[in-house]
Amino acid sequence: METAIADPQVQDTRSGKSSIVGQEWRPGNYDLRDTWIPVAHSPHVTGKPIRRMVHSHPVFLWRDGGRPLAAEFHPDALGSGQCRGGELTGGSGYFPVHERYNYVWMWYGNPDNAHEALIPDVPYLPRAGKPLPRNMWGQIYFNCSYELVQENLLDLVHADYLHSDIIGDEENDDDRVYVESDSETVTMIREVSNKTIPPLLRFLGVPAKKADYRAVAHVHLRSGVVVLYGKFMPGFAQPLFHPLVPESRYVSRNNFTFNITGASPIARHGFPLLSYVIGPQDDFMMKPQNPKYQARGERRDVSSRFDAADSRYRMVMAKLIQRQKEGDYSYLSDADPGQDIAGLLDCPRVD
Amino acid sequence: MAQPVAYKGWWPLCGSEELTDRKPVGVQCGDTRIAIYRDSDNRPRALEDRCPHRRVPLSLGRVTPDGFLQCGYHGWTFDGDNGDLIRIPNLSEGERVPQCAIRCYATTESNGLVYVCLGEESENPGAEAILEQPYRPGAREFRGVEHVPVSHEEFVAALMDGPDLVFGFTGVLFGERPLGDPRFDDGLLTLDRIAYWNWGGIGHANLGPLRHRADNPLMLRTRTEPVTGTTTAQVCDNEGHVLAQSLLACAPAARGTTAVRWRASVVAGSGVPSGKGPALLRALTRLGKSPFKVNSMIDGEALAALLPGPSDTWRQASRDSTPLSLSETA
Repeated sequence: METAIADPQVQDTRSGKSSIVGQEWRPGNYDLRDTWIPVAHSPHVTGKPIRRMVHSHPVFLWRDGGRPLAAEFHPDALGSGQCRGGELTGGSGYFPVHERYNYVWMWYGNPDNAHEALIPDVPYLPRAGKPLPRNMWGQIYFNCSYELVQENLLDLVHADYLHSDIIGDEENDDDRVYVESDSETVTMIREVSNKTIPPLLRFLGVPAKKADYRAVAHVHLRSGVVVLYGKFMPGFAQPLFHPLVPESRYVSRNNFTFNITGASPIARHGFPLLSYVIGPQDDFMMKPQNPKYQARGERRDVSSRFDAADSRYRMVMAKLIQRQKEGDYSYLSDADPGQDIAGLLDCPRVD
Repeated sequence: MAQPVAYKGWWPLCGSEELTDRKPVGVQCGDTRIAIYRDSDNRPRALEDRCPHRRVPLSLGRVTPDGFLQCGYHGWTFDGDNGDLIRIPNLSEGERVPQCAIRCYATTESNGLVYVCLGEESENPGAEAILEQPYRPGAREFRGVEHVPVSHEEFVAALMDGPDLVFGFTGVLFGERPLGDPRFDDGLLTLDRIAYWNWGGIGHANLGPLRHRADNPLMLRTRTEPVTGTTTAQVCDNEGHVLAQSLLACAPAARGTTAVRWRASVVAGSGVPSGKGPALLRALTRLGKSPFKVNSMIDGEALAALLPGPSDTWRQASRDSTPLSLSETA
C-alpha cells in the first residue's frame, strides 16, 4: 500500500507555508477555502459576542434580533467604522452565516460562492428546532492540526488499543476496512465480526460478550467535518457528528453532538460523556504526533491494509490543495457535500 | 542556528530501577529519543522512540507479555533485539506484516544505571569501556531525577568549578578552594575540595569566618567520567573516610537541558567516624530525609560569575576521549 503522496511540490503563495512538499505529508499548512465550517453550537451564540478562531483568523459570533452573525471584528469595532474587512468577507467584515443542525456555520472563502446546498448532510441530526439534551453535545480540543484528527477517525483500529476499555480490544474473528471517496470526501467503513465487548459497554446496553460492529466515518476534507455512525449488533447505534474547526496548525476544536436514540437511558446519558475520556486519550497520541508532521525531512510513513482510508485521504487532500493553489476553488461534478448520506451510513433520517 | 550535536558512545540514560517489563520509559540524549524497557529475560532493550506507522512515541505504548514493544496507538509491535516490526495484531492469521525495522541500540547495566550506546556501531567501544564508579549504595538509598536548565557541558563544568551551585549534602558546605589539581585515577577525573559542617546555618563557606580556618574537618571528593560527566561525589573526613556519597548520572536532554539521575546514601557501620555531624546525617536518613539534593533551579547569576577552574582539565579530557567524544554533525 502506497501512503506517501507523490504529487509535485505544492507551495502556498498566500502564506508562504507549504502543506505537501515533494513526498512529504505535512498537514496543517494549507487553509482550504470555499467551505461551510460549523464554528459554534447554536446555543453558545447569543446577544453577547463570542470569539472563535478559524485558520488562525479571529471570528466574532453574536445574534442580532435572533439572527446569527459572524464577523472578522468585534461588533463595537465594526460599528466604529475604523475596521476594513478582508478578502474572505468581501470587504464587509461579515462572513456569510447559516444555522443548521443547531450549529452556526460560517462560510470560509469567497462570499459570492456561499451556497447553503454545500452544507454537509447529517441525516441523524434535526435540521432545526430545539437543541438536543445538554449531555448530547459539547466540545473538546485536540492539540494538533485537524487533518491528524481526521486521519485518526479514518483508522478506527486505534480504538482497539487506545480505547480498549471502552470500545473493546483487538480480539475478533474478522476485521475488514472499505474505502470510498470523491474529490471532497473520504468514507471509511469498518466491519468487525465477533468483537469483544468490554464490561462498560455491556453495562451501557450491549447485551453480549461478543458482537459484530460496523462503523462508518464520512470525512469532509475542506470543512473538517466528520460524520460518524457506529453500531454494535446486537446493541445500540452511536451517531456522532464530529466537526473539527481548524483553529491553527497546533489546535483543532471539536464541537461534537451525539444523537443516541433507541437505547437505554443509561446509554443515552452515559455514552456521550465518554467523549471526555476518549478525546483526551486520542490527544495523548496526536499531540506528540503533530510536531513530527510539521517538521521537514521526516521519513515516510509505513502502512498496512488498515491504512487504506488514510492513504486515500492524503491523496484526495493533495489533489484538492493542488487545485486550490492553482486558483480553482470549485466543487467538481463528482462531489456534493449536501447529498443524502443516510444510505451510506446505513442509518435512519430524523428529518 | 546551532548545529545539532550527535552524541556517541555509552550514555547513562535510565536508572535500573526505573525499567519494568510492562511500560517503556522515554528518554532523550541530545536530539535522539529512545524508548527503553525490559524484555521477558529482564534485559534492558532500547529502540528508537518513533513508530514508523504514524510517528507516535513508542514510549507511550506497552511491553507485551512475551517481551516486545507495542505502540499504544495501533498496536504495531517491535522486537527489541533488532528493531524489526514483528506484529500488527489486527491482521488475520497468515497475513504478511510489512517489512520494516526501527533503530535498535545496544544496552548494558552498570553502577545501577542503564547505559545506551549511541552513534554508529563501528565507531563505538564495547561495554567494557564504561568506567566503574566508586559509589556503593548504603543500607538506605535515596534516588531522584532532575532536569536542570543548563546545557550538559556547562552543568559538568559547574560541577567541577562550583559544586555548591549544582548539588548539596545536608549540613555540609563546600569551600571554594580545591585541594590540589584534578588528577586521573582509574580513568576518572578526581578532584578534592575543602568542606565544612554547617548544622548551625553559618552561611556561605567562602564569605564567613570559615574561609580563613587553618584546618577543615571535611573534604568533598568528586570522581568524574570524562565524557558523560557521570560523577561520584563523596563527603569524607580528613583521613579520607567516606561519610556520605552520591552518584550523579547526567545526560544532555531536550531543549539544552541536562537530565540528572542521582542516588545517594549515608555510610553507616563499623569503621565509620563518629561525631555530631555523621550522627546527624544518619539520624536524618533514618527519618526518611534525603542527605542529598540536585539544584534543579540553578542560580544563573552565580553561574555566570563562576570563574573557570578545574573544568579546564575536564573540557580538555572530554575532547581527547575518542571515540567516546561529542561530534558536530550537519
